Amino acid sequence: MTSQTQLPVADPESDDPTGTETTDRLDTETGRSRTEVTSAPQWKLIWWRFRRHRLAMIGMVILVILYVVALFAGFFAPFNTTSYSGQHAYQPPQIPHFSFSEGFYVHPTTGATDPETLAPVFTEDTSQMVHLGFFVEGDPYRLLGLVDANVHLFGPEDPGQRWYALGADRGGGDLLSKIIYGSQISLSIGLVGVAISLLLGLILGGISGYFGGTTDTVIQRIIELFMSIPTLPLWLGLAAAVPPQWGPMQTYLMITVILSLVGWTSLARVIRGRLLQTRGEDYVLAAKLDGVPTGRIISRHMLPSFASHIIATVSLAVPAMILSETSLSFLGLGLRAPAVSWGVLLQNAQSVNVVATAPWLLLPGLAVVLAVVAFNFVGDGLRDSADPYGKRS
Amino acid sequence: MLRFTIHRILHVIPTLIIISVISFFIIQLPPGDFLTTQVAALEAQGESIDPAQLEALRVRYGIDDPFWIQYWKWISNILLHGDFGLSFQFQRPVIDLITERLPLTILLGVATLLFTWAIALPAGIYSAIKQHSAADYTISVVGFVALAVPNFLAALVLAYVGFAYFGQSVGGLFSPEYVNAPWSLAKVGDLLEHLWIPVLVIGLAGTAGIIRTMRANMLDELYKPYVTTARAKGLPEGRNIRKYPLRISLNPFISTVGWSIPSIFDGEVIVATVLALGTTGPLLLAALKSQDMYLAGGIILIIAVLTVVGTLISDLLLAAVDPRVRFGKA
Amino acid sequence: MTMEHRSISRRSLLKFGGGGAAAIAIFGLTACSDDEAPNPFDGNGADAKESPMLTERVEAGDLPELAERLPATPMEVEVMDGPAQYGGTLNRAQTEVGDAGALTAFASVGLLEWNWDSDGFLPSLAEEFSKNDTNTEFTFVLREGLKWSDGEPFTSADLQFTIDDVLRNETTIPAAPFWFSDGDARPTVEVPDERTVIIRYTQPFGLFEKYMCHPAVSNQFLKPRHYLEQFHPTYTDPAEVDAATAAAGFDSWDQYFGDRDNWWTNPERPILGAYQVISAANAQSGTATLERNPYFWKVDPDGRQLPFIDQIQVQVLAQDALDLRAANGDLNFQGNFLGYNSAQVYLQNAEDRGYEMLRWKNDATLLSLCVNLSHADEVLRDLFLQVDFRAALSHAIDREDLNATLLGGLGDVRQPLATETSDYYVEGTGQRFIEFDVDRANELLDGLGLTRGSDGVRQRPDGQPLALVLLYVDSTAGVPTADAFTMVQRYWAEIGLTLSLRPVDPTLYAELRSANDFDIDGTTMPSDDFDLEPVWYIPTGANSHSAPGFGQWYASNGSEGIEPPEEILALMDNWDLLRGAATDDERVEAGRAIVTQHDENVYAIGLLGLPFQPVIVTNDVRGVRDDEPKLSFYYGREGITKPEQISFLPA
Repeated sequence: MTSQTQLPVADPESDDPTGTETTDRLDTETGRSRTEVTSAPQWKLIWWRFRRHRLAMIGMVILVILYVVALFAGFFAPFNTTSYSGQHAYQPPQIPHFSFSEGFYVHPTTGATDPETLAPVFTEDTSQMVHLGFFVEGDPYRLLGLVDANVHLFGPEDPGQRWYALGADRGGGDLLSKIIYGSQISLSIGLVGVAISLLLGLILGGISGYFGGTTDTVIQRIIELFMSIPTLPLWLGLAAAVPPQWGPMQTYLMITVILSLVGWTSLARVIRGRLLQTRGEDYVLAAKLDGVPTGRIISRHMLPSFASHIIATVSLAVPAMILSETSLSFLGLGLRAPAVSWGVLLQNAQSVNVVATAPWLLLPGLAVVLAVVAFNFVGDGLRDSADPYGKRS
Repeated sequence: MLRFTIHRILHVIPTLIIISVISFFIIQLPPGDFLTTQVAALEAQGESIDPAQLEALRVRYGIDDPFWIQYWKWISNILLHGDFGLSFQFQRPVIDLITERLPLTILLGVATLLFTWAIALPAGIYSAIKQHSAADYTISVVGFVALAVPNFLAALVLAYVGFAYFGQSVGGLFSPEYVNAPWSLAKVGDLLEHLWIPVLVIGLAGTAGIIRTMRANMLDELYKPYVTTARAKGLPEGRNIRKYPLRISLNPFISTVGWSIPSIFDGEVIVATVLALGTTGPLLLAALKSQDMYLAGGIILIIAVLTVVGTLISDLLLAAVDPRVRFGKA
Repeated sequence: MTMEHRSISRRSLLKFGGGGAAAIAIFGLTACSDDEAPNPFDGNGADAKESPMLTERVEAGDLPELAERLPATPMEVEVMDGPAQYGGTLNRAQTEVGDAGALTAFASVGLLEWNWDSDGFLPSLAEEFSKNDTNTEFTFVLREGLKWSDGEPFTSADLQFTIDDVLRNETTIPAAPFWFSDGDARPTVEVPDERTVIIRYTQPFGLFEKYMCHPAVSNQFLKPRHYLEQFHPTYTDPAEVDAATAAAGFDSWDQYFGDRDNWWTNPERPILGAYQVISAANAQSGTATLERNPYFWKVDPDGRQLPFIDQIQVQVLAQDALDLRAANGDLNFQGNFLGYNSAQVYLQNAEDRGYEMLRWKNDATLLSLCVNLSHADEVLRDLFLQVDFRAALSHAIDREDLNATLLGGLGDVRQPLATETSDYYVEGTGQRFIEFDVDRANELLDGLGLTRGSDGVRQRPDGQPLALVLLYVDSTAGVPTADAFTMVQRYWAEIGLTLSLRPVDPTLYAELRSANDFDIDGTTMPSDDFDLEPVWYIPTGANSHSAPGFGQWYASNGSEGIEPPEEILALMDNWDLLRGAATDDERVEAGRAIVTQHDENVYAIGLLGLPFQPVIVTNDVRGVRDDEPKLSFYYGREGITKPEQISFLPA
């Protein structure tokens, strides 16, 4: 739902640089020898250039961390998503204290609601301590969905005690744990969705771009059709059509499909544009004259030449999907509690009461921002480095 | 050019027909209908409607007619009489509801677009000229963060800030004393006071994309031989950039302004809903949620038509500027 | 919908002290002599008999003098916080554009109206009311000289028109509503003279007076014949009506008639209540403006015409914006649409922003679970019909934990049955099966032969795992449903039941329920006035929350749906007795029998109720009740404070 104006992306290949000039420049940029550069495979050239893109590298590191945490959510989260403590509803974040004799600890609190102001009041018992430690045993979980485990990276040493690193939600659940578990859905929905979009985009964009003519016109009209229907009704209509009998997993997949149905068109356009360009290249003509079958020409000769551009476009489509997931949840479509995703957590936070009295519940928004910005940096860096012979860096 | 124009216009007609069918189909997808939605809303408040009564109403509203009959009723009235039907929910003609909201929607859309460009274009140009500088990175980060903040959240938080620190009456585009008042200078001032939150939220989110594109376009042009030539000939740098690369980089923005039309309608929906602005967005959302099909269908159709026409104009503009487009080569 | 009436019972007069005993009557006119300008509070002391706004119009010759506008004996309403001044605009907000709740609360009137305590009726538009011994014939005598808001007289002819040409007309009302059916037929009306109206039923109707006080029903008997005739083919050439219908974009005359009759969207329709819409909320501004009815027929004990407040402005907003408006002190008097969950924010800002948050009672509503007694699956149906099964479900719920977690321990814990404030309350009910006792629950389930499988999950008698689905609408307006039901899910896992949650949108919710396609329904149940909306307590139709299949059977006289077992038939019999009671005693007796049966059988399992309903009143508004009345649909919500007597403090 963000209003991204569609603008033609400048075409980095539109003017042909002469080969020597380019390699010379690459030399100075990558600090590598000419032979190294001239003999390096394309992916290596991209990687060299990408590494010089500082923001992209930062983004990459953030993404790696996010995905590792999501993959091993059970281990990184201090609690699981169902454990709660009723009297700690709306407990504000507790920052661990540290002392050399006691290690990390927080003081336990007891919560009660003031009947006059209705505010939850938490009294800290400073005579007691909740000791926190690394690799502690706690709520059980299944690592990668395979291995039963109960060891958590950091948390209360006594599994019965509570510690709210980022505060508690309105049901007394640990927000940090929910954000970590929520990342599993939120971060994967983008990847799966883009994969589906890509498939659609590749097939339709590929056909359109390679064959041109009437096929192209028809597919272009279809794309135009999709693009002229405002996304919101498309979402609402499709999401409302998800059969209610479906479990969370199926709903999740369906939502992903819906997001990708809305998202494939721009990918298809990019792919078509690239194909149209490469179609005219001499090496394609050569392959054709050699009698190479069409499918093979597309997959072996043409695709690799613009794969990097596709990767860049894809990495920019992922964050859009992550944002869309939150929007769908806001609209009351898409996933709903008790499923845990960033969108669901944000939807719970969408109230004046939270903004005014429990602002830490907006933190899942920070997670969204982090992931989306990181993806954009990476995508941006990839786009810049995608064309190792181009002029931009 | 003439041939291209006619060709292109002819393409629009089947597109519009299919869009109208799809629009109508989408709003019919969800289970239930306007009446069940109404009943549910009443029940939530402790009221109930007799199921027999419901059945009778359903027959009366023609809700149980098959899809094609409903579609035909709808589209033929639009084409033959310009009648978009009645909104069940508002009990008013759809066309009135839409037309009275269009001016504010367009005002909001245009204000947002101008705001976005006013921020993003200079930022993009500056980024390109000072490539890899701290400023370049800062602009990237700020742009992406603005894009990344879910806009419903941003709207709520800003609304709360307006309330908590400025004592502002949140919601709507007017304060209570001006809503039903005739237009006056004070009312315009009041409007501007309320306009900043939505413009900021929607506008900032859109900057990132334009900054990136502008930066890329500029970078492409900056290294072209003609720029180097001009520089070598001693043209002052500022003048050099203004005169050539800037103009060429801006070209696509001007000629594709038509493509921004859907974003005017789409971008505002959630924000306008949170802030209860009197634009088409909340109207569309409410209509979709309550399955007020003539209203929803009417809005979708109008947006789609505007989009198609906008794209058409953009394409024609592009073709006029760049002959390659006319021959399907670009 | 329409109306607004209110007056005050003897009891509340005592409460107010004050000039209650003073007499009334005779209003000699009194136009106020001030001729000043529109400043609402100028020259508007306690001696002004009408709003300066109207005085001005009288002086301009646009309006007859007050004496000519009032009936011979205006209805007198005690002013809670007098002496009051005329003028001012009251700001309100709502979330739905089509919701006429503001009119129902501030401008609904009827032949009868609720008394101050809402436990009996007062004659209102009717000066006298009587009925026969069998609850089949109801006679009203209207006040003399009543006028519509356009100055036309209101007479028995208007009622005859309403009943014969609208309520009894099968085109305008295809299926008779609950409150206007008489067996399979509809009641009839007779108007012997201009002021007398007799409504007749063939079968006794024990709820008639209650419905005539119900602000959303009573106003439906009041339609302005002189205005609506032009849209009705019985009175106007059908060709003309059709032409007007088509011109307005409607398909059939009854739709256009309904549109013209809509007092919330059509500013031209004359009304009898205190306020009339002068610009509708469905315009682009999303704001309705209501203005005082110059012919309103109620006065304060000094003979000053009511209401005191000149205008009401209602803006349609999203919930968050509405909450912020309320917290900013922008809403002068509002209860409906305010969420309990924002009460903390309201309280935080009350002092700074100049308002007070009152704690009114809610409708005795309780978040509850209704198992589907008419489940399509026979195994489940048999199981659900066992009281031990439902009792086990109830015992397994730790309501204390639920209360502490979701409402900070302030919530209301009981079973969803009529409370002490209701006629139908039976002493000692409401606490059965409520204690948290997992052992007892397991014992009961074991007793039903529901053995646990190897995974600890109980099995149905046919060997399948006992897995149930809870259908509900996600809402955070009251007790947050998703949170509460997630907790129930955990409690029930302890007794070997697998519960999955299915949050659905309101449309689908209604759809699935009437299709009898759910296991358990999670719903907020009003408990006190179940006689006016029986869908939660008695399966009277396919929209029943507890047994749609039986409800359909009942509604179709046995031709559709599922035939209920004896015990449910007994419940239905009592309902028939209640509706058809010839006397109040019989009605109450039948109602108590229903409550008793519900108590013994725990057909619905109560979870948690909100402790109060927040109501916001800005410091400049006087006359709003602070004795914690009920904010209930059946009593006109904010209308329970008789809003015509509230006023603004002089600036």
